[in-house]
Amino acid sequence: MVDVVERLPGRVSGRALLAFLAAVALVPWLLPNQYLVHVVVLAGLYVILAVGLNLVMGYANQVSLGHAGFYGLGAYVSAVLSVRYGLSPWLGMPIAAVATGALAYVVGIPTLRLTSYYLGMATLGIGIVLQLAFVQLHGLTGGSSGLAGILPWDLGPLRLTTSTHHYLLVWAFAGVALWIARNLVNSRVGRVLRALGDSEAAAAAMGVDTAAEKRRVFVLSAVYASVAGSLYAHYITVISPEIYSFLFSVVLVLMVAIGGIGLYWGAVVGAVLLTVLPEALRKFGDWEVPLYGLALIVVILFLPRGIAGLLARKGSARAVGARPPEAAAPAPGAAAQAVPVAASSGRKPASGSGSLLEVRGVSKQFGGVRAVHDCSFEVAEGEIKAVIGPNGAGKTTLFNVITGFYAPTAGVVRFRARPLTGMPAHRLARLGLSRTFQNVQLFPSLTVVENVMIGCERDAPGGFLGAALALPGPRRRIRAEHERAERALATVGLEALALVPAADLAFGQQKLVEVARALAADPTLLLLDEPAAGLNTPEKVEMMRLIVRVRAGGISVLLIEHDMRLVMGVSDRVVVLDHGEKIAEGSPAEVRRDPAVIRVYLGEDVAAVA
Amino acid sequence: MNTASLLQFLFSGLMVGAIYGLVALGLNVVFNATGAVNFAQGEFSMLGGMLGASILSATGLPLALVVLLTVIAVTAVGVIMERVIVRPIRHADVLNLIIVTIGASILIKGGVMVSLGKNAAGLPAFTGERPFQFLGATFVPQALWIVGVAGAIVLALHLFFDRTLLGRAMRAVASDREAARLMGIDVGRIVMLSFALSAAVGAIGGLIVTPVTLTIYDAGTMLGLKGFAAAVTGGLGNTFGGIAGGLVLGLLEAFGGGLIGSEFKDVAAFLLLLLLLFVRPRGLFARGESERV
Amino acid sequence: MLTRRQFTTTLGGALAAGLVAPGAIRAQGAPIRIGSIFSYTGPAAFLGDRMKRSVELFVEEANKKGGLGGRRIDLTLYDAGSESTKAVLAAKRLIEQDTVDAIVGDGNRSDIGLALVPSVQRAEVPLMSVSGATALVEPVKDRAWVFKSTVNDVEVVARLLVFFRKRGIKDVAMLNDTGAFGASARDQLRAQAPAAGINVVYEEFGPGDNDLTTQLTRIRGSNAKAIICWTVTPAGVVFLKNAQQLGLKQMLVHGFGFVADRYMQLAGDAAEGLYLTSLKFPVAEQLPDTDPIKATILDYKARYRTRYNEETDVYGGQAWDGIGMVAQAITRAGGSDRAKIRAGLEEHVREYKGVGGVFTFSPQKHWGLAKSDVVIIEWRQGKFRLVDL
Repeated sequence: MVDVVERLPGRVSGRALLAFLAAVALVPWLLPNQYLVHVVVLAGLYVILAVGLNLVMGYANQVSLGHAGFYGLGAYVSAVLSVRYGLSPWLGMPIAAVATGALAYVVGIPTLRLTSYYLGMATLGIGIVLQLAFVQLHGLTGGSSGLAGILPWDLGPLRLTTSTHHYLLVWAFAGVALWIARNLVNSRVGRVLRALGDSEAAAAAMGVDTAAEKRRVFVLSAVYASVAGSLYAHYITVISPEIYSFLFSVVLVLMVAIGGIGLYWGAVVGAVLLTVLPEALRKFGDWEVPLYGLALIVVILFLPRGIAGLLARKGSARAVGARPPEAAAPAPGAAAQAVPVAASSGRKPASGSGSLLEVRGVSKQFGGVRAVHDCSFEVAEGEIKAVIGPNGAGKTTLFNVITGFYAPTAGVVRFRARPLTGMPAHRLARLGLSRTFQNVQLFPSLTVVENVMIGCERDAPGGFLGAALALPGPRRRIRAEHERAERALATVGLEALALVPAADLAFGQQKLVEVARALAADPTLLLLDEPAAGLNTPEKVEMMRLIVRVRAGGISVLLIEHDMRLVMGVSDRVVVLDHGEKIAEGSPAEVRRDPAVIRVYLGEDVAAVA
Repeated sequence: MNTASLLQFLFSGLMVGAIYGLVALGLNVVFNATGAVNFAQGEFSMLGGMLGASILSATGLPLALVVLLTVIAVTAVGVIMERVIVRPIRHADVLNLIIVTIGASILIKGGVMVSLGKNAAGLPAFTGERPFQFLGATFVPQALWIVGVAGAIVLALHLFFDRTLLGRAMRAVASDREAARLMGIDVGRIVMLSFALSAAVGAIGGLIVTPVTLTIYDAGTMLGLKGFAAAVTGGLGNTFGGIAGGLVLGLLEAFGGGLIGSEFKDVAAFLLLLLLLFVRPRGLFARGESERV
Repeated sequence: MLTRRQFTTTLGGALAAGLVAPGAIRAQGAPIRIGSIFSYTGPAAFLGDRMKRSVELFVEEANKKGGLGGRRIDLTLYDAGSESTKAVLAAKRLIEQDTVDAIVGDGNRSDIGLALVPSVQRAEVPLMSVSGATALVEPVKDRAWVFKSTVNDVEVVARLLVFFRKRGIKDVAMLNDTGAFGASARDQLRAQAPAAGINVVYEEFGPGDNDLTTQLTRIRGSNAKAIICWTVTPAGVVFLKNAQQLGLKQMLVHGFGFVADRYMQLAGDAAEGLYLTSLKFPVAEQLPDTDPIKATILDYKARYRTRYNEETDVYGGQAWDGIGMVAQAITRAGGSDRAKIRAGLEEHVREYKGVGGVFTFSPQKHWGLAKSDVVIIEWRQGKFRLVDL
């Protein structure tokens, strides 16, 4: 088990990190003068900044255009406390870190709830406002001239005077920062972040509180920036506002981009390179500025995975284990196992009584368009229910209402008598609903087994701190989740493909993995959005068998489908929608004979004949 | 605070707001075509002013001709930028597009600094500098040009998007890229057109405002940022909402600076941006839902 | 034992000496190492260009004559890029890697200069500042290693207040930018205006602002009979244009950071009749022949013109004076180690005829100019004209 977990791609080796830090410790004694040591001190600060920012950009897939502001806040809070109140930097730094973290938290709440780059915009604003505040509040901050006379670092009675002393201090902090980042990347947090970078909707459907996960990482990166800022302030002992400009925020983004967004070592490479590069570009005088811009463009165009990406590509070919088997459909023999998923999770078997899901009077309107109107039906425990209807009937809209992606305009959805309205998608997963998507939303950055492990997220909220500090608890949980994932894969017959990157799978296999992922969540009700779409005939047969196996394991099923054979083959009851309204409900046989249904599918004339 | 002062703030706010609105307009046109924010939009305006001043002092041609040449030149820059830098980004990856446009803005800024110098430059006012008086407040003829030209551009674009086939094609791409492509619309050409259009609009904005405010090689950065704040205020992607957003921003700066204090002027744009992002992220004039799964 | 650097430099110097045109006197002895930090990119760049070239010109001419006391000067220049961090880094490099004996130039902006103070104080390296804020050289006990080759805003503001009193102006407005230069002047005005019996209305603007009508509208509503603008950025031109647009009739005065033909030309006829506080440099030709520095100024201007084919300005002159005084200190003190240079500046710069004024340093005073070196000038019909000596 440990062996497999260690082999998951994207893992950062602990030994590599230790070796790196050991090499770093030797550097000052290899450099000819203190000025060069000073340059490498700055490199250490920028590494802290870049590693934090990379977590946000590479893993949470957001951009922060205001990290210079957090850097500045860390510097100014700590500096002001030392200059005006004589506070030691060892107190000033944590106070500044808390303040900065709090600000990042507040900024993150409204902006991370939404997808796309609202965080980018907000951080742009915050960075600029912070810099303006440093200038305008000149009574406190010294205004444009900045602050001088900041208390320098000391270790008790020991004064840190030379650049070498400060080098060791700064890189000690950088080492801790790198270690924490490594823990996060290797942990479930890293996996979850990569997942939500691929598909926020799918992650949320699996129970991941995407806003909270992004926010935690964002706050951590702001704290990193603040710590770097405090380190700088008490090292140089003089700060001024123009350091913390929008342009510097851009430089930080450039560091991450050059190094390789989302690649752990990329941040280190980028930070070191961009500390050393200006020294080299200095001799170009005025040309330094346009060359900088050119460098940004060239890197993105030709090295979209950054410099570390160039090197990583060679490594990744080795990391992948099994190659995907040629056959598109899994071997029939394996699929015949009726391994009930429910048994191992200890849920009580379906009693076959009582309604599990109740949809009552649900309507959904988009502006003037009535997608769904006054729809009502129930799903009983242990039932397989299908919703059918011609294109545009409102099936997927209904699904999205049930699974919390839309709020209904009217009506209510209840699960075990509990109203679901207004609940965000990830909470629904925790209640026991699990779904697949019409257009297969797997996480291409992850392997198959990691995809399925995301399904276990509904049971594992939080754990951020434990993951950051690599505590034993989270590691045990990973192993347990891995077992669950393997069992789910076995149910769909794909356990041989566990270590294959999800992006490499054939479409039919992807659909099965998605079902496995939904099963790993241990749901009470499984919602399948067009499970047969895009499958060929043998694959459809396999899917039908799978659905029956799932129900046998005690899970109720609600599915949308176009393929009549599948619908008639597996469903207990069928609901028919047309133009957003329910026009029929009953057993497959009843519905097939219903004239209203025939008219809707085949037209007036045929209905008259039938 | 007498009427004359308040009126003065109003004029000042409208003038500056028109410029922010033009920048926001350019931003929205590109955003709608590509889904990304073009951080070099402010540089198009700066280029308009700087190139115009350089061409004028180098050749002494009549101002109208200089304006025409400058707009053509900056439009070419926009097209080159799209072809060379934006097009190669695969899958229109938004994050990479943003970074690459930031790189372009730094490159353009540095290029101007190296070739045209670090000094501020000005342009002569289009029709003279004698200020007009109105109820105690004054404004220069150029202010009328600014508001007038901005208005004309807004009207022209409105007609373009509404009445012409090409304009409607652009709206189609903005609405659903894939569907537009499937309908036979050459999305690549639309994207190039959007850059050309936004560069031209940006250049015109720079040309009309330089006689009043001067320009300098790094003027584009703050202009771009404030234009961005204006676009977000109006709702990013809402082409004409950006104009309104610009006016709101300009008036806020003028009245805030006038009534509260000059310190407020600088920070007004970004406080407004933050406030909106927290309270109404889709902007003041957004309509309808979003987020399809 | 020579360090590797000294060896290479001596070797290089010897080789270079061998390539010098026949007739030139060979420089002997270890070279004098001077470092320079100016901003020739970024917003402060328009000042830095001429400063850089003035220092280069001085060193070139000195080396042609065989250097100082027979020792050539090695000049190392770094660009502060209008940023304090870059300047601090450059200073570190000069001090630790290039091991210079003195630094001439502080990034030519007050806040950058202030950022350098701790570094040079700690490393005990003499710094010749070229920026205006008084805090650069005051209090002397905390600024033992910092000197300045221009005037302090303390004196400029004092001189301006004298001028206002002469003209019977009791109410003024101050419109300064929020940079260190502007903010420092504002603080000086706050400190000195009450004693001079002058009432001041204070407004501010950001250095990059391109519309000041809001602030000027507020000033229009006050009693102010004169409006002072204090900045080095092009916003000062916008000030003039906006004032004209608003039809303001008050006297307009600019600070000594704005004395540039180019700015006046940009402002067009909005600059007509503008008063400025300045050193004597821009109106050198109009000074009486008895003026102690007239000849020095004209000489420097001619040399610069010949060498670079363009006109220099008062700011280039500040750098010229800066390195000139350091050179004098080295020659008179008979040595170029850092402590000797510092002592040399304190003791051997007396009545030094620079192009900015007549400098006198002392252990108590590290700025050499006085109120009498500041004049009021006016821009009229395309030229600066002396108004009040």
